[in-house]
Amino acid sequence: MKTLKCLAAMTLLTMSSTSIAKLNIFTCEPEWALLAREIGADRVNVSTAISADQDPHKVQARPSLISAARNADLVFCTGAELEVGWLPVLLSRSANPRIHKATGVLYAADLVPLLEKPTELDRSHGDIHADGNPHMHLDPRRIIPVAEQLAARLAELDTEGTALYQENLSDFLNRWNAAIDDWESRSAGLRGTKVVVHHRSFSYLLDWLGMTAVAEMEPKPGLPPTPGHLSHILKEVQQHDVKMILYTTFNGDQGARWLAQRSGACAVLLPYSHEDSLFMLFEELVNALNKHQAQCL
Amino acid sequence: MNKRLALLAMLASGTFLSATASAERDLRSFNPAMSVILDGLYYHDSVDGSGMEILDQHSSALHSHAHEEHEHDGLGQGFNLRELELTLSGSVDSYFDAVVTAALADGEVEIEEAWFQTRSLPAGLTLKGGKFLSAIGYHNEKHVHSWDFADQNLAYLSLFGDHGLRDTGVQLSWLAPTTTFVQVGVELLQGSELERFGSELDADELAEEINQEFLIPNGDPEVDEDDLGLPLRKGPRLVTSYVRIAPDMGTRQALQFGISAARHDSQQAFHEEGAEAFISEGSAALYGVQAVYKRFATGAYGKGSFNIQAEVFEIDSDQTATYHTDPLEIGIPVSLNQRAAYASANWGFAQRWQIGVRSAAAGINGELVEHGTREDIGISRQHSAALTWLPTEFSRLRLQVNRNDISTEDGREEFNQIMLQYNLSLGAHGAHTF
Repeated sequence: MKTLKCLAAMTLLTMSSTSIAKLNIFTCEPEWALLAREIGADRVNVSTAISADQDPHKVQARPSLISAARNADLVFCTGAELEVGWLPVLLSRSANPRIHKATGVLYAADLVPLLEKPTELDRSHGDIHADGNPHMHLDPRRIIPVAEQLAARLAELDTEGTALYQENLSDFLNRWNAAIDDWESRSAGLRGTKVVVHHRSFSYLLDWLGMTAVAEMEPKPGLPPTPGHLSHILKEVQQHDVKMILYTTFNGDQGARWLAQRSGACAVLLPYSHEDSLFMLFEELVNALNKHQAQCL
Repeated sequence: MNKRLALLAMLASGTFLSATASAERDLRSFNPAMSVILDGLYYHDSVDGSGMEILDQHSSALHSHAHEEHEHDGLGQGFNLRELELTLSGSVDSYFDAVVTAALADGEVEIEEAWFQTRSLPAGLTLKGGKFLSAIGYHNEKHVHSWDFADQNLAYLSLFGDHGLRDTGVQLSWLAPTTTFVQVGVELLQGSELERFGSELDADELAEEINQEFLIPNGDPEVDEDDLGLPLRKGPRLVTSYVRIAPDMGTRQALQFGISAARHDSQQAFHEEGAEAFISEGSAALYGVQAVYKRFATGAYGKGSFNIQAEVFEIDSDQTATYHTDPLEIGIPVSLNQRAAYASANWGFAQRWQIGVRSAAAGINGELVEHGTREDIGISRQHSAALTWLPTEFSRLRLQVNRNDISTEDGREEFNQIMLQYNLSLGAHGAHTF
């Protein structure tokens, strides 16, 4: 009888320890994983589908992602069709009713105004997204409403953590707003700078810093640069006196190098996301842009 | 403080903007996602266009082919519009998702798939019902447009036919609550529409053939379908089960292993031996193992992606003769077994370009034992190479060559095939399944 009681007590103990188990958050991109860790801290387990140097458009719904979705309490992604090729597969194969409820998914792009909403939807215009450009995480101001909604959502899913989430949120926002002020004051000289981009992935960054993209190296979004199109851009680069050609790891450097060699402008490799910290992401972006602005004259 | 004001203005306009955006999205999502797949090819072979027919007639211990109820979409020399596939999919309500796929070929409409799947069962369970591609093996669930090659591999062709194992019934699967992907599933299927494994004879047509070719010439009394002794077994006649395991290997690669087993209650075959003919029937078992490794693209536009996969199947069947032109032989035991296997590898060697090689074999260790007399089944082999250009996710053009060495009733046939395929998808964004 004693052993039985002992067993029962142990079972209860393990059960109670699982009942204060952490919230499992499945994020599609590393930037949302970083934000989830800022707000959720020790009360959450965060997994992410890709590394910071991988293209979020082109992910395969590999088995380990299905398992991650199976165990998730919250799916936290960009939305706006960025993950249209793979997130629906994960959701439908996850066998997880929690993430089929409205409280189980959070799309960052739903919370902010989007740029470049197409007026006409036709695939002959390339890989465009009906709701607008989904790469909104590269504007730090647009991170703010996402952080607020995330804190609210975490509180909804885990009411005991409400105070902690609110505390983490206000702490994050204090540091974030101060950092934005700092980045903006250091980047004042970038305002009005004209650049060429590989893909529309940097539209929000440019919008924030007051920079302008005069051309895209992709002839249509999602198509690789062609020699003909690059020659055409070369004229634009010379005409507008463009100093910087922006690209990221998963764009490949061929187009940017080709253009840089012939125009004298700098090919600038920018991070698209970050493994360790959202602050570091923007720090690196601002530093790289300022450094090359100074060097590429 | 300027920033705050700007942000407020942005958010105010944003609330409005995102409200309209999501209203539009909601409207869209009430309609099922629709896609049309266009698949066609230019085909040439070194045997005057009979290549597909020879492949179809390769030696098999199942001895079933050409007598079951299916017709085949053969490819002729020259241009072929192989298939036009229309798919509608979406959520029925908060409990079910559903998918319907109809194929139009040669002026006929065929329902390829029509199934529903639960969204909200607890404990990692999912129930699927309707007509669907079975989850046995790895390649079986793949649709033609996501194949790395233009045609079905010879191993699958020898066991499941052109389209793979597709049937009507239910599937219950369980996904373990672990970081390692562990999926276990069971399917209960009608088993009446199978082409090779689990194929059933058209008794009416067969009785007629036996009369014409064996009985009437000898002046023997004619038979009708009831005389063939084929039992009317109740459905569902096919049970399958599978386990898939995939460790978490990070964001750059993935590995999956799987085993599957299936049992069909009524494998039927027609055998001709000189002036004699007989029909046998009995249960058949199928076992399979598979392994898939993928490395995801490190470069831009698919450059650097790599995958390798291999599957092996074995089929065993113990049958009895239900009809024999020599009545004394009725009831004799007939047993058969054979294997089939393929392996393939694909490499994204340049932006938007992929090259693949595949090797497949059917009739491996094939044997048919009739009343102690053993007949060996010849092995058939196929080697393929494919070069694919993928302009976007929605289109692909492919050049493929096959070298075939096929064992048939009339001896070995060695021949080449060339295919130039286009596969275009209109409409909803395709899924990047593993």
